[in-house]
Amino acid sequence: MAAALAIAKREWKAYFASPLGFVLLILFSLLLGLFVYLWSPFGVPTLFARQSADLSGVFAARHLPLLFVLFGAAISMRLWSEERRLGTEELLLTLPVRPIDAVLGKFLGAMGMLVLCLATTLPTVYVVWSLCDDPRGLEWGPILGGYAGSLVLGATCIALGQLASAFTRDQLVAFLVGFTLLALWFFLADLATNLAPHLPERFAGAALEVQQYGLTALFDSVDRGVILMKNLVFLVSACALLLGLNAAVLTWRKAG
Amino acid sequence: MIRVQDLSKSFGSHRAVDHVSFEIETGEIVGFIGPNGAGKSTTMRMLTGYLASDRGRAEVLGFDVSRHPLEVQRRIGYLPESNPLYVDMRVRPFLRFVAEVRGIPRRERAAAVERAIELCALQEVARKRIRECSKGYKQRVGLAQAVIHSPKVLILDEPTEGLDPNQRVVMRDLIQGFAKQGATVILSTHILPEVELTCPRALMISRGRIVADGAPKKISGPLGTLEQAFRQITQTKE
Repeated sequence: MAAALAIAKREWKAYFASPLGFVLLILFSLLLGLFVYLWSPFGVPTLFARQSADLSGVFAARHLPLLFVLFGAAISMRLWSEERRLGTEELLLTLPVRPIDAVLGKFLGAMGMLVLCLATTLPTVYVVWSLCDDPRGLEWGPILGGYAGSLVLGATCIALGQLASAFTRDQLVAFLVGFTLLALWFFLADLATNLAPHLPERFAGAALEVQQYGLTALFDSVDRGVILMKNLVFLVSACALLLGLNAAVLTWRKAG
Repeated sequence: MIRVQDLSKSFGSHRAVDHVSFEIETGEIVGFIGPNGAGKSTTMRMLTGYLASDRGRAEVLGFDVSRHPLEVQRRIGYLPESNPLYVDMRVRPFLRFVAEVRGIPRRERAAAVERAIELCALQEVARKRIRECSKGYKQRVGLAQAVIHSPKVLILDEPTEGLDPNQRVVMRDLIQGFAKQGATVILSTHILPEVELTCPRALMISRGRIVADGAPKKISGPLGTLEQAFRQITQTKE
């Protein structure tokens, strides 16, 4: 585990050895700020129009999932592709590190970047807190629940992008593949709804069943600060499965 | 110390390493020579656990590489071909990172890093980004990461590639210094005079097979120079 933490630290710092880390932070905060304060692509009323001291603008069902499609792919694109391009994968994997530790280290480093991105919403928490005129103060439960749910959802997006990154030495290719997969996940509910009528009855039911595992559907309840156990279990298992697959890819590649 | 038996590896239909066997004793410096694509790097990669063999067995310091890769990796130092480094990092933090991943305890880490810096004469560039270092220094950073834990076995894939004659002499002295301290060294190179100068023993490999094994003088024997022997042996095989 010590090796994984050392790798995580190096990965996290690597974001700021180039402009990438700063660009990610600035774009994330600008886009989310736009959605919360000025205009929501999903018609969610802006913070000031709503006149309610809560963070549902931040955790609105589709805002963060949409950003995670873009930023999950962008944060994770370099994780393996850069190692393969520079040849440092050979250096890393001949150090006494188990493949799963290398995978976890990279994942944790990327999660550090995601946490920083989410931290750019803290000024909004302050704005909401200062606008709150309820004598009982802010309701912190939904806020904390919202952050926890966002972290779990973001983690799964990063694990998917990281897996995509293990198959190429080109960051752009890794980004495009990760982005496309995440976008398909984002639109899963719409896809299933549109496909269902064209499928034989047996599959139509399954297609509708699948809807609830779409990126946005999983986030629906987080909007209210509630993390459904079923969704949590699904996301954590998906994340663990993707990281395990990533380690398997490394082991499989060793076989040449 | 290092025991390789019947090791083979294919990539698709190309057999890169073909039933290779050899043994290397403690404290030896062995030069791996052979044409490009002969299987030198593939053999070294199998010794380090980076690649799995298709058949055969490689044992380093009593550990089977395919069964106990971590035990082997803990005890060896490896400089991969073309010396890949995290070029965005500065030299000292990079070495600290390697020391940390290698599990060198926190209180010994700084000393290990400084010793590697001193051994490889990196004091001048310790604060520089690796990207900004000259080729010779980069190569020494690669060597420093390989020796940071004072390994008993050093595997160096073309450690002098791309260096000028002065830098090569420095590198050679460093490698001989490690052997004097009791390390076993396997190095690969194209530069045959270097093998004659550095390695008491050479292993010549061609088309994935060992074609000569012994002191460079013995290999060149009646054929004159090692280069002539190299050309004759490896070309007749082609």
